[in-house]
Amino acid sequence: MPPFRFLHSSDLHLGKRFGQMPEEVRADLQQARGQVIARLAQAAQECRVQHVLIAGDMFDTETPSSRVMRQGLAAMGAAADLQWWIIPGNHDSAAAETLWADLARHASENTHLLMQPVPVEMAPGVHLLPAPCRHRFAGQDLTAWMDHCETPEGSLRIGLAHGGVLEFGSNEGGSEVISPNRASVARLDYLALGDWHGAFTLNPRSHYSGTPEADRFKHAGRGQCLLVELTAPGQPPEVTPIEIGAYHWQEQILQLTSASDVSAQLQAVLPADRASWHRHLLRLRVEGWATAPQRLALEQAVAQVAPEFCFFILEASSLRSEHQLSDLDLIATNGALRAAAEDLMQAAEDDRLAQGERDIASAALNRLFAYTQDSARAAEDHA
Amino acid sequence: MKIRAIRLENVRRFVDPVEITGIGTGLNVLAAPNEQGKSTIFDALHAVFFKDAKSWDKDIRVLAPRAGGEPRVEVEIELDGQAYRLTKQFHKASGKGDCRIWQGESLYLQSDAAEAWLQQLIKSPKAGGPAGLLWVRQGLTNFADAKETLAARQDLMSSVAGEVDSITGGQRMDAIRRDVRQSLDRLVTMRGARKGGALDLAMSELAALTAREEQLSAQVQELRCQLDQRQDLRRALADLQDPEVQQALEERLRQTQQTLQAAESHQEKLVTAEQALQNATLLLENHDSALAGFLARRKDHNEAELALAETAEGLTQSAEALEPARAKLAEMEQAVAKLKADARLAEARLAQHQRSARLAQAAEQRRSLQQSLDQARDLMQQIAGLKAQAEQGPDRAALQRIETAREALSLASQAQKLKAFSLTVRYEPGREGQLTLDGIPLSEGERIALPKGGSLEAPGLGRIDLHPGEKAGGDQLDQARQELDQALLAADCPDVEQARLRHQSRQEACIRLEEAQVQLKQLAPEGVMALMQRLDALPTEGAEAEGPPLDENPENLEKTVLALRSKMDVASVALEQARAEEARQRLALEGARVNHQAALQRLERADAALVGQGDNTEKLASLELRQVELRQVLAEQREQYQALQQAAPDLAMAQARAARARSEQTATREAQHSHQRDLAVLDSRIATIAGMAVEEELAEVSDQVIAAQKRLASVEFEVSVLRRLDLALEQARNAAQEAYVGPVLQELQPLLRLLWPEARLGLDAGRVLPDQLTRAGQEEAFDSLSGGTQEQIALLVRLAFARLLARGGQPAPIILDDAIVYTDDARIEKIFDALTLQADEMQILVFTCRQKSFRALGGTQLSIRPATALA
Repeated sequence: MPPFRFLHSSDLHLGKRFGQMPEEVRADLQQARGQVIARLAQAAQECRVQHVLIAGDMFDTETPSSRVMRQGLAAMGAAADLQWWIIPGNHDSAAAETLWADLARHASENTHLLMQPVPVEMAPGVHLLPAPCRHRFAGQDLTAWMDHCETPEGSLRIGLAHGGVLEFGSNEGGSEVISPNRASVARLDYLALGDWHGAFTLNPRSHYSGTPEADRFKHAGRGQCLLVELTAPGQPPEVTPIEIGAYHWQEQILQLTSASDVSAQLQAVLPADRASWHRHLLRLRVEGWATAPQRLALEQAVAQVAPEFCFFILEASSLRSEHQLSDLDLIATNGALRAAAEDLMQAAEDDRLAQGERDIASAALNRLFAYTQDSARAAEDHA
Repeated sequence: MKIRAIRLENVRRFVDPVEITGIGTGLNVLAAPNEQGKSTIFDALHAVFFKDAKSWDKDIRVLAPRAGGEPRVEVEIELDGQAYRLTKQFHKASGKGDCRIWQGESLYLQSDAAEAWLQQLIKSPKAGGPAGLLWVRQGLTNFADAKETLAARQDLMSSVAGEVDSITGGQRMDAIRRDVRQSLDRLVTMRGARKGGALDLAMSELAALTAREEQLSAQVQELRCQLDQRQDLRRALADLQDPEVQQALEERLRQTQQTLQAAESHQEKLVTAEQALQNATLLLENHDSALAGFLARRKDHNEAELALAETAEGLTQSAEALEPARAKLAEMEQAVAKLKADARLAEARLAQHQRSARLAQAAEQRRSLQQSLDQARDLMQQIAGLKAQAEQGPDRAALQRIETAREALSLASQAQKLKAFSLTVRYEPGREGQLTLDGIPLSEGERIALPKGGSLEAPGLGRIDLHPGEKAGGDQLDQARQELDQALLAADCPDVEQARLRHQSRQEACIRLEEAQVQLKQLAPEGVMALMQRLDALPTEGAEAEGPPLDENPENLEKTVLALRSKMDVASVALEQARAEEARQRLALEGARVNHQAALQRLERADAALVGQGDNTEKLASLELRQVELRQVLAEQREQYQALQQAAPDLAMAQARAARARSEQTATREAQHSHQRDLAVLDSRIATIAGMAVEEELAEVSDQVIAAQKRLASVEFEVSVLRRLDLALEQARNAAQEAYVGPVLQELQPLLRLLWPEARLGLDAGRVLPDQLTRAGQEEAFDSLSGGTQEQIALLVRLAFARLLARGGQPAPIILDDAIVYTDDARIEKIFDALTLQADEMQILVFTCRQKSFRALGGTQLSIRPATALA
């Protein structure tokens, strides 16, 4: 029996709209997501596999628009040499009767909607054991049935399921989570899992493929799928990640002190390939302490590079302001401006005040600094 | 602090070291032509005190010589009795500049510590002091150039302004506050978010998104409900369409229908039997009724015959009883008529007798009345006479007045006698009676009053006329006499005695009048007229009784009349009784006739009712036989009915069961149809909502809401920051103004008066700069003042600030670099006075190119001299 190869993917979340993103970014991300099936098909063809397993959450909701649903089906149908094996996930559970009825009505022959927990011979000698989500909240381990499911001796057993697993380091788990040793207990050669948007290896036979198109900063990098090769029953699978996502998501943390060279530190965390920045979504989380000039410098540096990114957000809520007398000298060495600056600095450092008030005072001082620097710069330019 | 020496090296034109030494306390003047480096010294001094040695900014760069080199400045100062030397070496390379402070030959402080010491020296920034306040830059380079002149003028003011600005934040503060306010204004108004502003947009966006999210959430909820409903409906429909359930329903319906049909059939038989029973009962009742009618008619005929016989006998008896009643009535009528005639006769005779008696009595009365009338008339005449007498003479009151007047006269007379001129004669013996008074001889010893005088004759001697002279009591006497006369006249009496007599007569007439009146009252108590009327009412004397007088005893006549009347009453009663009896008998006869007639008619009717009945006996037998037959039939029908009734099933129950079975089947069918209809509707709705991709949109909108919340929070934070900054700036400026405006004005006022007695300067509260000058009651805007006046005021303001500092225990040198260029010679003297006055308390360095004019200023004359290279 030749090795059996297939692609494992999940969590396509077709129809996801990225409401928190600005309008133009949203459009880019939606477009990339709409093309994810075509990219999966392309990857399958490049890897010379005939089967693509989708471990749930193909759609973002139980009621996707007809446009999303039909275009997804059409993309699958277009890859006529591929077989698509799909189970409902928690986002598009089998309880969405209308959705699955419509899918069944419009799906092409190469698209297999697995609505019942019964084994399916997806290829000669290869049995697929699906665990479709019947409801949004399963309430039980849907893979439990696989333990007692018999398949012809000598055939490959592949589990396909969607849901969380027992947390590492925890001895207890809810009844609804998938048992982490399901693959071994159910004598599975491979358990293809979905739900976790980042790729994750539970054990040699149990893998989360992650989403093929990333959609959050939590999982850094581009989306991917897994190329799986099963040589023989009982043999460990060979799993190869294949990066297919269009957009690179990333969060970087900048730890500052009053001695930091803000600009240099920023440059260090930016992606090396500047030409690819338009395909990057970067969340820059700045922490630590910064003086007013540093803060101003950071804002100016970010303003310089941000437009080149698909999306760039500076999160400085954890960045505390460190006010120094020398900074105050830059505002004014004496007089009312100096008095105002000192009043704000005192309020910013007064631990008797609520943090909110201190933050406001600190920001006001930074703003005063910025104003005075602007006016100084304007005066110099004028001179 | 006092400056004692200044040294420069590599400062503009002074590449080689130069120095100014010997700077004294009080006023110091460095008078030198232009281009000699006064301003360079000024700028270098400024750099020492106000520029960090590590800085290499524009102000420092312009100090460097054109040929290159790094400026070095050294200043010797005296502070609290101690001498210090400050050196600042500026350096192009960042951070390499150096600042040192020496005390004697020892290095006291250096670098940052030295800078800090300097900062503290000129004024702690924390105290908000006017660090550069004491400096007035050169304002003039070229008198001939009007443009430069104007610039210089502005520069002088801007110098003051700049330093005042350092207190209040000045134009930078204004610009920043303007920016802050504008930024705030773009976001908010007094009442909330500005329409169309970022805050408003963020709020509106969030509100719209939240509303949309709620709407979508409701739609999604509705969709889920509908999906659940559809599932429930499908389950219910499947249950309804279960074949076993349907078969059981059919079987139950069939059985209940059969039971109902059997019950209905039995019910029909029962109804038929009931009708037959009712018919038999009716027939028997009709027959019983016919039989009873026949028997009643026979009985009625017999009774009519008996009644006819009875009424015929009654008629005969009534006719017989009527005759004696009629005879008795006639007899009684005759007896009554006779008694009536007798009574009338007796009554007439008695009446005649009574009339005669009344006439005799009237004649007697007339006589008595006439007598009384006559007496009364006499009395009336007497009374009239007595009344006239009773009114004659004085009454009691008049007599009393007369008596009183008389007594008064008597008293007056006596009094007069006592008071009046009088004479008493004492004759010589023998000559008694020879004297006469008015012809009357005078008696011996008699006192003779002579109120009116008199004529006394003494025969042989002559006549003596006596004149009474003054009256003595004559008036009272006359008055008393007049009153008596008046009383008598009123009473129409000649004298008192007559009055008494006439009063006596009057009293007697009154007594007699009363007696006569009493008598008249007795005779005619109701008056004479009543007496006369009574007399007239009596029959005339000529009337007489009709007929001849009767000799019968009237009492007998009355008894006869009464007896006749009594008999007539008895007879009348008997007559009425006879009449009633006759009428009763007539009525009885009429009644008997009517009864007889009715009995005849009844018998005729009974005869008529029995006509055509044939033989009554046969008829009766036939009827009785038919009655027996009918009773038999009725008994049979009743027996049949009761048997059916006992065997009848419960029709109502059968109907209820059948209805329930039918209803159940109908309800099942309807429920199926209803469920199918509802399912179709739900399918349609679900398809519609699902087609709208509401969940996708909800997820999107929820994300957008989060983003909008962040944006709103960000804008709100921005508003808070701007408000906080605005508050801090406002408070700082207010504090600066409060700290300086009042004290500066206080210091300024005495200096102003040196130039303009009674002048007052107004400071702009916002910028703490002069804005108007009041001289001789005239207010002038500062900008409209001449250049000279402006610079003088600027200088005085400066001096006022310096004085303020000095009073604060921080005296600082005042350095003036060609600060007075427009002031004329007359005014400059006063300025010099001001400077000299101030120099008592502080050190003033004046740099000027006006050597001649400033010669009058006096003070220590300074000069710039080459120095040895600085250490």
